Order: sequence, then C-alpha cells, then structure tokens
Amino acid sequence: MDNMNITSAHYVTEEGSNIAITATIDGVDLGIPLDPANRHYAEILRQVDAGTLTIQGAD
Amino acid sequence: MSKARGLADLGNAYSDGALSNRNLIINGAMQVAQRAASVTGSSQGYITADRWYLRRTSSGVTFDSDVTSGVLTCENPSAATGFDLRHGIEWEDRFYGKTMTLTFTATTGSGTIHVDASAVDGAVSSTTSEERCHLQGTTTDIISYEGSRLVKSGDNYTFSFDVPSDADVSFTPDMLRIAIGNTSAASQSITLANVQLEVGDTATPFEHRSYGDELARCQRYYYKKNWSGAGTKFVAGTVYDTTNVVASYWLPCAMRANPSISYSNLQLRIGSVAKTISAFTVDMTSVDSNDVRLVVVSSGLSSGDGVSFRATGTGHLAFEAEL
Repeated sequence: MDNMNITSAHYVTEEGSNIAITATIDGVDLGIPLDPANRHYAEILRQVDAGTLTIQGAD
Repeated sequence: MSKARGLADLGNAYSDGALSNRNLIINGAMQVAQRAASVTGSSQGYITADRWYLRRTSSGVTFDSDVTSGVLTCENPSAATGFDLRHGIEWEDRFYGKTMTLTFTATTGSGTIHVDASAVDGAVSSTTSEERCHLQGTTTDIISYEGSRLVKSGDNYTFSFDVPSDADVSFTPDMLRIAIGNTSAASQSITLANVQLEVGDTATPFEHRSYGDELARCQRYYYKKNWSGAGTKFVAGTVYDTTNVVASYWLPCAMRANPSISYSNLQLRIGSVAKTISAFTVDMTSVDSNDVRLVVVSSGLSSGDGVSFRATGTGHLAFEAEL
C-alpha cells in the first residue's frame, strides 16, 4: 500500500457547513470534495480512521 | 457477396487490427501526457502518461519518467528499486469470471518483467480489499507472475488470465487493476508501450486509436487547462458572501467522480483588483455533469460583485478523478 503523504488538511465551509477539504498531498495543494469516490478524500478518511491525520477547521 | 467472402474479409480486418473497441486499457499507446511529458526526481503517482500510476517498489527512492514516441520510461532511480506500472479499469460486473488477455511491449534494465492482475476495492495506489486473478484455467493466484504463461517474443509479451467469479469476490470492486513491473536492482529501468487488455483468450493486433479519442477517454479521469504567461483571463463568477465566490466551469466531459482541483499562478480579480485565493474546490453536486460549480475562498469580498480569474504567470488549473 502506498500511503499518500498528507501534510495538512483543513475544511472549507459554506454557510457554516463543511463542503470540501484543502490539503497538501505529496507536495501538491489540492481542493478535495467530500466524495468517497474521490481517491484523495478516501485516503484522508483512511488516515483519519487510523488516527494519523486530523482535519483542521476552516482557516 | 457470399457469406464465406464476408467472413474472409472480416478475418482480414481482424488481422489488420481494424476492429475497434477491443482494448480496455486507456492510453495504452502512451499518446497522452497532460501532466507532463518528462519529469525528474519523482517518487510515485500519476506523473507522466495519463492513466498510468507509476510506483517504485523501494520506499524513499526517486526516479525520472518520460513519454517519447509512444513509449513510457521510468529510469535513473536514486537507489536500487523495481518499478510497478499500474493501470485501473473501472469495474464492470461483466468482468466476473471472464478470461482476459494482456499484451504489451516492455524492456527492463535488468532482471525480468512480471505482471499482476486483481479485482480491487480502493484506489490504484492504496488497496482496501483485493482478489487476485488466476492463471488461465487454474486457481493459481497471480502474484508478480513471470513464469512460462507470460509468453515472451522479443520485447512483446502475451498473458491470459481469469478474473475471479462473483462468488469468489467478497466486496464490490472499484476496478480491475493490472500492473507490469520488474525486480529491484541498482540503475533499474523499465519501458512500456502498446498495452492492450481484451476479453477472451486470444491476443489480437494492437488497436490504434486517434490522439483525440484517447484524450477524450483520459479526460474522464484528469483534465488540465494550461496557460502561457500572465494575463490570461477566464471564468466569470459571483461573490457569494465576504469570503466565498461561486463560478461555473465547463469540463470537456463528465468526470468519474467529483474531482480534486490543483492550480498554479492564478489569482482572483474583482475588476482590476487582485484577491488572494485561499482555497479552490468543486461543489459536490458536480458529479455526472461536465458543468461544475467552483467554490473559491478569499477574504474581504462584497456579496454580489462579479469576479474573474487571471493568470499571473505560466500555470494551470487541473481536475483529477483518477482511480
């Protein structure tokens, strides 16, 4: 298994609701939708479940 | 025309590779490289040829990759490693229990070429569950297979295998994943070209597609808009509140899933006033449509203002929905 190197993860909010995540993955800044079919979001969920990543609140 | 003559003509067309839509691999001819044609010092990922996830088997190693004249190359590793070039094909239930045949042209700097094939739940890079395909007509799992069933003729390889049956797969697969690799060595390299995967136990001639056809297929998974230099303006949107902008953007086609977005050298403009972009993402309602709603976060905005985007140098806006 190749773990993506996620060095930051912050929620993006709209009208008070989380609608996406911004994260730096393998050195690339990405805007990531909350779609389990998106491979970046799936990996974020996996690392959160594993306790190795915490998604911060919106900046 | 007699039936015999029709069959003979069809046989000739078959032998000449004229029958289309046989190849399940997208960009098997390595024609499309939206991200870059050549990259140095990469670790792993979708780097050069579209749809091909490039791995090194030793962690921490970097390598170079390029695509030239239809050949994908990985070389110059920083330390001993093997390579593992992966391709995910969106799962279809019709794959269950099918015999498939993989053909490709490859060279390896040292050692031998091997293949893998699996039904996979997860991503190309990160497997949640996996059920390996079997050597054709057996129950033998395919694990870095390099035995006699991988038939080599010069640099051309042919390999037939059986996809697991529905009863043998305990999860809902996301993809059929194939991988072509080699063993670990110092200064290892690998080249790959003309990859074809087709249903059945017969290898047919490579199916040549036009660049436009392959590009359109690739853009379901990745689309990159490039611009040269500063000044290019595109996409009009509206300020929604003090921090958020919404804008519509038309993609070439509907993507596989809601895409991740990356960009470089791009700023938000309200009239001639530049605003810094702190987040750039796509709204969740966009999947199954090529009309996506972008959400851009900035600060100090006034609701109702019109906005545009302006390039500040050579850059890009990219959408990614790879497996």
